[in-house]
Amino acid sequence: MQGIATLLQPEVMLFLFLGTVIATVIGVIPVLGGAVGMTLLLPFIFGMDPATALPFLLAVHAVSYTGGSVTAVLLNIPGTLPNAATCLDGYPMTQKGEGGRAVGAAVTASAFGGIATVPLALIMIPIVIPFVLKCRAPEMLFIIVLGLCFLSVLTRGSVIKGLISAALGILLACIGWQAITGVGRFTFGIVYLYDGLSLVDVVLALFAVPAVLELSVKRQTIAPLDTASLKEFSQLVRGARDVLHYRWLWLRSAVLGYVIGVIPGVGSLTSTFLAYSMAKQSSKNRDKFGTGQVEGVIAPESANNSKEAGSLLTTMAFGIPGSGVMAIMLAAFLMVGIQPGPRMLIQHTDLCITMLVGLAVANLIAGIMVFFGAPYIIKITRVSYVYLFAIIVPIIFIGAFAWNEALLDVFVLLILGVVGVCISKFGFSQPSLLLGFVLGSLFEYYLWHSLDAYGSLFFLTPISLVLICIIVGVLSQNAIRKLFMCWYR
Amino acid sequence: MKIKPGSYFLVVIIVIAIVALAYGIGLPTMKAKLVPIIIAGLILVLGAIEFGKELRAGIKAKSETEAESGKAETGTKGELPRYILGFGWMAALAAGIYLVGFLIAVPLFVIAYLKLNSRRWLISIGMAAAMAIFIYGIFVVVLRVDLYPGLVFGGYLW
Repeated sequence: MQGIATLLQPEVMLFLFLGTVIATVIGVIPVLGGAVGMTLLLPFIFGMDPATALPFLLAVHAVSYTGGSVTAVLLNIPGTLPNAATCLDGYPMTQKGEGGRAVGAAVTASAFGGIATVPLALIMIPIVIPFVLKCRAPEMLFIIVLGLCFLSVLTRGSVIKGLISAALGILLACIGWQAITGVGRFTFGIVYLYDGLSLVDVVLALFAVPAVLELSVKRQTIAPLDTASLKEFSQLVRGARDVLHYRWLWLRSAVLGYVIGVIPGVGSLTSTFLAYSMAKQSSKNRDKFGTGQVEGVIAPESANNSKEAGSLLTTMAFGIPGSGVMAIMLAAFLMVGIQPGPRMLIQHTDLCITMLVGLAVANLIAGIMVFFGAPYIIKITRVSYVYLFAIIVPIIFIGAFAWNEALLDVFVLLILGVVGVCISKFGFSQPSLLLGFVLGSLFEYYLWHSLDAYGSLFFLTPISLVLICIIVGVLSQNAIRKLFMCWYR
Repeated sequence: MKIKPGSYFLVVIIVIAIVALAYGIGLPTMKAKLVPIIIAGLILVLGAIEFGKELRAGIKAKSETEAESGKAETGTKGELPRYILGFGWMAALAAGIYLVGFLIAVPLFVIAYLKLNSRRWLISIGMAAAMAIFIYGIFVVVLRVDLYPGLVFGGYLW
């Protein structure tokens, strides 16, 4: 109850509303999306109360999908990556003159999906806590390794590159004073490096700098200037009623999205496309999917927002980010003084509840805002890259500076930005690198704690052995799949 | 045999891993050196494996479709100057901030960038003014950040 009471405070609600507004705008701009939005706002939360800052950031990410569905339907441009599944039937509906109906269905399904799974996550908290209490240093260590492996293996691109990214992140975290011994590592006599790299610099360099440079490379508006606009409100209402008509489809998709969100590293695209496939399989009109079926809009949009509650629960309960964006949330936890990891759910239960309920409230606000504001929101896609670049670059620099009020952070950001662009362009994993950086010092702490307390056979605890088996399974899943295919043939 | 740009980045990563490994071995205590040695060693091994895979793929692609690999290279080459230009603008802003501080450099950057991308003076100056007001209002007034004033006005780098 304390968690819900905290959420109802005027300051918290104000920031939640602000985060929702920002997310709705950002969701419409494809290159940006919730991840970059969160990254840009990270420096702003320094010094804020965690109960205000974390729901604010969560709202920025979680409801960006709602805004992104508008462009997916009207312009065939997914505002965020998971909205891609919505394009399959959403845009054909627009082409048939039912764009308003599709937007109404998408927004309603998104909002309801994001709200409905929060109670499920809240119910899971007391079930998860006893397991978390059993975890000691060796188990914590292997949970961190598992999280890094999941994210590295299950995100796009080469598995080896994902693992290299995670390892690079841990190596970057080694820069500076080591807490255990006080030895300076990788400082090369440079005083600035004794405090390690700035977390804000790393996050901005990995996500914001590549995104904004891509804007300047593409050199065009997000949508052509003569594309469809949205005019009839009655169509929006019809779309909302479609969600009620197909309520079981919406509910199934929401639960599917939640379950997939709980599994770390599976990815948001998986949940939306799986929901779409499931809707197609179970529909009486499956042959018409792809030509403008409203079910093909309701299912992915419901799964899109509902996965966030599951993803957040995994992140809070185990310190393993349920998605790449949740790795940024982990960085946010550190910035407001919350140590991420399995103890977070126990030590900050009220805050966790505040975040989950805040997620539901943000989805509700976003649903109402996008529903009534869709005709105006769509105009953002006609803003030229020139204006976006001119606005976002200074904000990135000020964000990097504001953290420590040290201008050197801006120059370090430029250097790390080159690394971030290379990581992004050459198939490495940005979320894995960030997670390695965020969890690197924890990894080292639990490693030495395990060695000191249990000796070199620390990995022989029952839970550790199970976790090791899962890690091996995750790392060798491709090989296992190939073996299975060969045997099947 | 053609090497993709990504493979050059892999070579850079392998070199970094070698340097980190050598540095880690030279650290004074076991507690300080263990994690850097393990992680750098892991990056070295994985990097070498991936580099080998990419080299093999490069040889195979070259022998199968010479024309396609040529087209792919052109696409990559076309983007590189734009990335460099975009990065150059960012570096110029950083240099401007170092010299004259945020409140002067940012509006100048906005005007210069918009004008050199063929926007009208009215829009350029208007946006620059809006950015200056936004930065001052949010960062100085609301968040009370002490914005860097610039070397010219007595600022320090760190």
